[in-house]
Amino acid sequence: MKVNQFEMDNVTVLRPGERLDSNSSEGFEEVIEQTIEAGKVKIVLDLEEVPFMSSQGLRVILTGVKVAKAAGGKLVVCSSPEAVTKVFDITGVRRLMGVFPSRQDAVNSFSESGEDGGES
Amino acid sequence: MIDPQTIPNDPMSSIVLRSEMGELRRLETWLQEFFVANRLPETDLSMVFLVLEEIVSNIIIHGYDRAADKEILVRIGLSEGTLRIEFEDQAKPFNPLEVPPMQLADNIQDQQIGGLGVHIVRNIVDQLDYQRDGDRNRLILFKSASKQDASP
Repeated sequence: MKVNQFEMDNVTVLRPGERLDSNSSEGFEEVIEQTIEAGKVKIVLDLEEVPFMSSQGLRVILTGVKVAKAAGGKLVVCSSPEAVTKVFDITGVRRLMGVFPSRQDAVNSFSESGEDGGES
Repeated sequence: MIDPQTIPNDPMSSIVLRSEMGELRRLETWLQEFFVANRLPETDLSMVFLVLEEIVSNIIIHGYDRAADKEILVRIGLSEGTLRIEFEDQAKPFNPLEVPPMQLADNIQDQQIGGLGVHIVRNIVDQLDYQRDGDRNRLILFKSASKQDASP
């Protein structure tokens, strides 16, 4: 699984470059786990290059949200194409995680005190 | 062979998949062709394929325990603006209607993360029927082709 990784304002941005489905999600889960284990617990998942997400991809993201929070940080997502945003909408998981329209909005959410949720 | 029960105006297509995850790509191409041939909106395609992917991967992983020499039949039909999608396999009995609805917690720490596949399918389709027929699971889904998906 190809995942670009970079830092923006002390926030780690992970940018997977393919669909998140039953074939690829395990590799992506490892990348998130390793990031949190390395002490980087402020994470933005930039989903711009993810054209499709199945329940396996959603499971990995929700697990990441949970583990990052338990580690004292936060994981949010941004820039998802419509097909992926729809999955966040129909499953109702937006109440559990930040979903932002742009990477900058997602990164900015880390400097707002106590702000957990997101809008898009 | 022409099935006398088939009304010519109601398009139908079927595909037999091997129980391998790589078959999902062939399934997607087949579904795209059905959508193009029937001038169905592309906006519905990703949600309908998501349903197919969830069900077929569930059959491969849990139903057949990843045994690669099994088959899954998928049939799709369109009648009066409603898609009817049927899945047939010879895996162990599995009735998705018996899976309890996923409960959404108020915060992520209290959220149980499981059963997302069935939760997704339930929120996309309009109706879900299950029959155990001899040694076969038969799952039939109905979805309005023009249904708006974004609900909550």
